[in-house]
Amino acid sequence: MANRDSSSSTTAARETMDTLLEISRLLNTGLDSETLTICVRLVEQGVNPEALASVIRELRRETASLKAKEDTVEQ
Amino acid sequence: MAYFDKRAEKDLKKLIKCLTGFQEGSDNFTLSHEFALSNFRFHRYLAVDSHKVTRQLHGVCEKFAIHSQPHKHEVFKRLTDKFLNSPLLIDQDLMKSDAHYGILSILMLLSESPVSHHYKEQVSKPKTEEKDNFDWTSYLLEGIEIPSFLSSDEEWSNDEAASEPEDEVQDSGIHVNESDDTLVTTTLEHSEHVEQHAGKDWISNNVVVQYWHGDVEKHVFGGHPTSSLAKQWDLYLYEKQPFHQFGSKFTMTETQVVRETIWLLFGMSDMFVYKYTDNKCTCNADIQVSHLTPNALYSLLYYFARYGQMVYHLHQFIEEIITHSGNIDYKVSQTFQAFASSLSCFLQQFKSELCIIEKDIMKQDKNVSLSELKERIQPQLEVVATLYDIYNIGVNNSNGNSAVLLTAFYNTLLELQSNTVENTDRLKVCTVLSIWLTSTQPFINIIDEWISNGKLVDPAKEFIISRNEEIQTNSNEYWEKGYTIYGVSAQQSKLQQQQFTKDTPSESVGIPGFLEPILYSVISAGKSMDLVASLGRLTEKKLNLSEGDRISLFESFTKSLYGVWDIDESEDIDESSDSDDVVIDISQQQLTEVNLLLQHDAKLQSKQYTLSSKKSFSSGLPHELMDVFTDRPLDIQLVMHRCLYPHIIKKCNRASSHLVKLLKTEYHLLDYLAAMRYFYLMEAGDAMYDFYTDVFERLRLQEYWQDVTYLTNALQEAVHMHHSKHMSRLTVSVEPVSKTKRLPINALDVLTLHYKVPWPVNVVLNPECQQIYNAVFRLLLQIKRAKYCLEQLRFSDLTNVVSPSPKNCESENQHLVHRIYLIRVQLLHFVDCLHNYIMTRILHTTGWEFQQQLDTAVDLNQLLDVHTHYVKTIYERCLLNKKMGYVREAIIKVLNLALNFQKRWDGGLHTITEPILDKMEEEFKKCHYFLSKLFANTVKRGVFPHLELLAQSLQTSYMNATAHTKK
Repeated sequence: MANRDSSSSTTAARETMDTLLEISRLLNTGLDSETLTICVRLVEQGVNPEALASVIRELRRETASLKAKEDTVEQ
Repeated sequence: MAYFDKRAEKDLKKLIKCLTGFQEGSDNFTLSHEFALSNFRFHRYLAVDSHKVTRQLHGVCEKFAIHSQPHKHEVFKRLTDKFLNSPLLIDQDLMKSDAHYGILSILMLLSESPVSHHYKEQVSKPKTEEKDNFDWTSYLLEGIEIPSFLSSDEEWSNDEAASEPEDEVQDSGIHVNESDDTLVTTTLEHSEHVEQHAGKDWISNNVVVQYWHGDVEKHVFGGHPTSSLAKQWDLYLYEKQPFHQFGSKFTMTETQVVRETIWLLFGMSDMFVYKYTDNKCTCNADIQVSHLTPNALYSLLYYFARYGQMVYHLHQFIEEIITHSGNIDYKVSQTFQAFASSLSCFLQQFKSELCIIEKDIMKQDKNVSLSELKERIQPQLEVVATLYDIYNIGVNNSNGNSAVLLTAFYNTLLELQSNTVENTDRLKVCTVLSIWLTSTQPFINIIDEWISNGKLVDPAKEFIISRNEEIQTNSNEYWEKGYTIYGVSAQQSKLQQQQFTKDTPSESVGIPGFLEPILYSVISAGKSMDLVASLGRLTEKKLNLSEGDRISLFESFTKSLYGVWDIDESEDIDESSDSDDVVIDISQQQLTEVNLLLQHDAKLQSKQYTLSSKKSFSSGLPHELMDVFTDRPLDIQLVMHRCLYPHIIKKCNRASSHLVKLLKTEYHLLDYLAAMRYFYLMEAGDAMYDFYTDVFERLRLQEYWQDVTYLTNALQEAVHMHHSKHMSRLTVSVEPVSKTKRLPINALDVLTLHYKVPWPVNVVLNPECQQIYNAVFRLLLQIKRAKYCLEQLRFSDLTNVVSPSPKNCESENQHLVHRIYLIRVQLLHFVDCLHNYIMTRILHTTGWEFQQQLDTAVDLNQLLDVHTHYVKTIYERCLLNKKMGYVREAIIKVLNLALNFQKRWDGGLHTITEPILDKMEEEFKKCHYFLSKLFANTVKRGVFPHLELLAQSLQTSYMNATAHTKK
């Protein structure tokens, strides 16, 4: 009985995640399922959503500029 | 400060890895981590407000509606409602919690132009339930006959199938380069078993499924239990991980993957399984093979991707070389061209082997799995990896320097040769060796042309040596600066050229390792031949060549390598060992190996004859090389010492000795060297005596003598009698010197002899050498002047002027005169000793040694070395170098004393008083004592054995003088 409960809650959580992933795709956030899962966990653990969003934006920007620099050096 | 749960730490790290790709522990990762932590802890944002988020959600919905995107509007609304009414985590049942709004808030903050973004709804539903395979239709309709109707399959009628039975094909390939004939792209096979009823079914069964368009093979999941391994594994992951996407991967058959792998190794870039991004080969992450777990599949795919990428890059290099070869403005290095050509041959061979495997697959007689493919082509892949490493070092990181490529090859061969026990290693070594041999051809041809015709033909400027166009062949500096080694200054180049007799590290100047041992000889021979060509004497040399000498160096090399030249072998080895004494330093171990090889020769006789019929000189094919090295150990250094160096040395020796012979016979080098000794070193005593006595006499009489016309006339007259042929070349000039500390003995230092040496002898007798000859000439003049002055003193001159005086005065005078006589004799003895030492012990003996060395010199470099050594030796032994400055000073003092003494003698007895005489005696004694002691000590130490005679005579005379004074 307990197993059935846990499997049903897993299915429900998966569905929620699928829904969330669809919203993410619809809004064109560029987040993949893994990153999205991590974000959910972080928000659950009390991280401020706006702070998290700003960190994600900043890290993306820095990585892009770093990659652009590397490409320039290679050329 | 905001609260930050430590449990979130792990998630944060994961987030950074996902977003940036930085590895934990790297500087960038630490920076990112610190940045994120500080943002989470010290931010100014308010807590999430559900009303605000709801308003924003409405706003987005409205935006979609305004932009006429009702689908998005609906989907968004439905999804957000659904999301807010679902529990977020497994262990919670909360709905519309702060976390819900928080996560929606993040998504809206990260949203990037959702209106312009194309969206297609994807909802994956796991296929958890097995399909019911039971055929209920046939079960329920059992016994009821249903009339058959013409279906759409009728279009695929028997007529059509029967009409073109021979054209029906089994497609075996896809989207591959059509230009390449060897790549079997759409091989069509005639099927003899076409049944009459074959229609659409037959085609769909026999044509390769277009999996790249998403079509799945019917029988992709077989009946064997292992064929559902991937599915089982997927299901297991799905159960374990809530976010795992079940059944998201596209299933392919292993044969399809194997064939894509073969195409990858052909050098293709656009495929379904393998993709190229930024010139890096990656594997399609969304595929699976039914009987393999993803890990097993990807470990194999990435293994092949690595080699596929290498093959692809090698093909790109070949294409680039071919493209540039046609461009006149862009001169491609011939070595690179040769490398690309031999590389292409190797890859062609590799492709043909792959083709055989592909044909096996197409026949469907054999099963070829990925691991079987790996096992079959592993040796070739290892060769590819080795060649790619060489390409990377030699082409990618060499800035177009061909020498780096050849060095990379040579070093790889040296590394590989120790592992030639196994057959696979042997194949690798022989393949690398064969490609290397072809790649060395341009260098060897350049050397051949240079040492045969004196022309350094190097249009792409790839050879390590270049002609210095600023220096003409008839310049004095030609031999030293006429050619430079790339990346080395002229002076260093000269030094390097001198040092090549020893083993020098090749990395220092980028000289390929295999050329190091013979580079000295090659440079010497190349310059010699250039000089011979400039003299217009090249044709004579060519006429003297035998038939065997006319074949090219590379041809001789390959002939030797394949053992064709077995008849000349013993001769070659003898020659090489002779020349090795001079240039090549074969280690003891290598000599032992040569002996071992000679023992093998008897065994190989029969093999050599069979090989000689093949005559494959152009490039060594690996399997032929393997034949050659079946019985013998492969030692590349030994191969070079046996097969290449003897030929180069032979040609070099011939070229160098030809020039030396020309210089000695046609251009009278020996006569000019003799002239140097005659006039500068005053070996022509008769002629030079007339010249210098005339000048000395003028000096003694204090007449003007520095008139160049007078001096030249005097010299010409003196030389005219016995050495008339040198008259026109010999001149004398007066060059002012600094007047500091000038003693009377230095009066002749202004004289300089000039001898016009014609080209090409001026390469040997250059102005620097003449300067040294002049320095010796001036010293000789000083000694000869002192000697002459002392010899010219007449006793009568002194006695005649003695005035009548009282008897006691007379006895005093006689005593004084006696002392003057004594000092004259002592001075004369000293000067005579010195003169004899210089003229006989030094100049004559050293000259004799020089003559002997001159006869043994085989090339111009040696000849130059011998001459330079000779000039330096006489300079040192005449005590002219700086180290012996204090000795020379003492000698000059004595010589000057002799001149002063002569002056006073000429002035009469009254000019020589006892104090003056005492002073003279004292000075002479001091110098004499100093020199005799110094020379005696030097001789005792055995440093300068040639000083022995001088030391002995000075010692004796000093002892006699001391004994006399005591009496």
